[in-house]
Amino acid sequence: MQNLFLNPAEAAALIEGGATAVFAGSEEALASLPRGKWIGGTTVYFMTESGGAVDHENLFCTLIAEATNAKSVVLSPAELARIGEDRFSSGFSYVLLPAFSDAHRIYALEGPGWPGLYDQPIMGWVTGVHLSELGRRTPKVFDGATGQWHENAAAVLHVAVPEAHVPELDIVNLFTDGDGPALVFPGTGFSATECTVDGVPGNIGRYLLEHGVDTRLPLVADYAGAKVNVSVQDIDPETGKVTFYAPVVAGQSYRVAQPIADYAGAYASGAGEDAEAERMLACNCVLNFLYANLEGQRTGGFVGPVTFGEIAYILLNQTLVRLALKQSLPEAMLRALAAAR
Amino acid sequence: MSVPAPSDPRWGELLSGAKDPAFTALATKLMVGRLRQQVKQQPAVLPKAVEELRHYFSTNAFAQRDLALI
Repeated sequence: MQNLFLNPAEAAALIEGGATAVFAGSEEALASLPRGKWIGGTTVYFMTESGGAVDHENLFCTLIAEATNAKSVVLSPAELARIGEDRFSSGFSYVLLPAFSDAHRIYALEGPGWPGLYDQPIMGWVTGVHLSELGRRTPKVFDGATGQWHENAAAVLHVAVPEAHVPELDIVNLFTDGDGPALVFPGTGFSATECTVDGVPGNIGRYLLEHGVDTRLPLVADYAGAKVNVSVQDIDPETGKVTFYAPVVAGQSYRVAQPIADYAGAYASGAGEDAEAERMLACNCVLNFLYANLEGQRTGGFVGPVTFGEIAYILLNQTLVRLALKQSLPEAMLRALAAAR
Repeated sequence: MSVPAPSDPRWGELLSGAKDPAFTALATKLMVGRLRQQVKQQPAVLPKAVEELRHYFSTNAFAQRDLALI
């Protein structure tokens, strides 16, 4: 895979040359692209080789040269549970969801329980707009096969790769659960008012306000060793109702993340200087971009779109998601190894 | 490696959190984390959760390293 930051004419030339690719860019830039084997999502925030950038003209492109086949699918909210049905026997799926849409909501709430969701890597992100355009413009996804855009559907690119290339999906999460009380919610959803605080009935908004919690810090849950963040969007000081960028899950135990003294520095060291980073599919959260002041700063070599939510099987917040194609042993050697065992 | 039978006590230990192996695959972590929370909420769903995990481990070659840890 190869990451490129291109102007629309360069992107069009690649598509017309038959490339299989995923794009991120402004609505205008994506709408200018010709039909082909690609999907795209709207954002104007990027991590580029020279650092974080806001750009309305150019497109971030990941070329998937290893693809032996690719198929784009557009799924309505009612069809989303079928996301695994069209995938190839060996490969991965890349999914884009428009922020604030039913497709986004349903994937976040119901996706974790869909049969087969974890059987093959599903990576992607939630598309957005410039923050100054929130409420005036809708985030969109594009299907390159038809050239159509959608504001309430998932665009999915199923990619086939040779068995010698093993897709590995992983996350980089700066945050760990802090030493504050366990917060448990009675219901699953993008908002909550009631919760228990170390087992005592309480109100989540009042807890956060009365304790002066820095709401740039996400709530963190432990999923058998994977730290999963839920970020705070808003607190209603009257009712204590808190709105989140991803759902809290009923019965799951959350703690406010450990504070980070040097957010930008921790981010750079957390992401590491992975030599392969520039050949990976990756995306990072707009909240990390804002809170860590990443504009003009590099994140350990990882480049990609800056997003309104990240997907590594499930919806995540404030997390860097990365997918690498690892070279495994050649097929003939794998067969010989299996026969010898 | 063969997948343990549904009645094998290792499933209950894993899903109660009594046993907490250091899994390597993100998919395994997310799946086990989700099923643990479901079983904690509703212990009666344990057999269904075990079946889901058995299916996952028997279907996915990439999860064999994690299967060896349970």
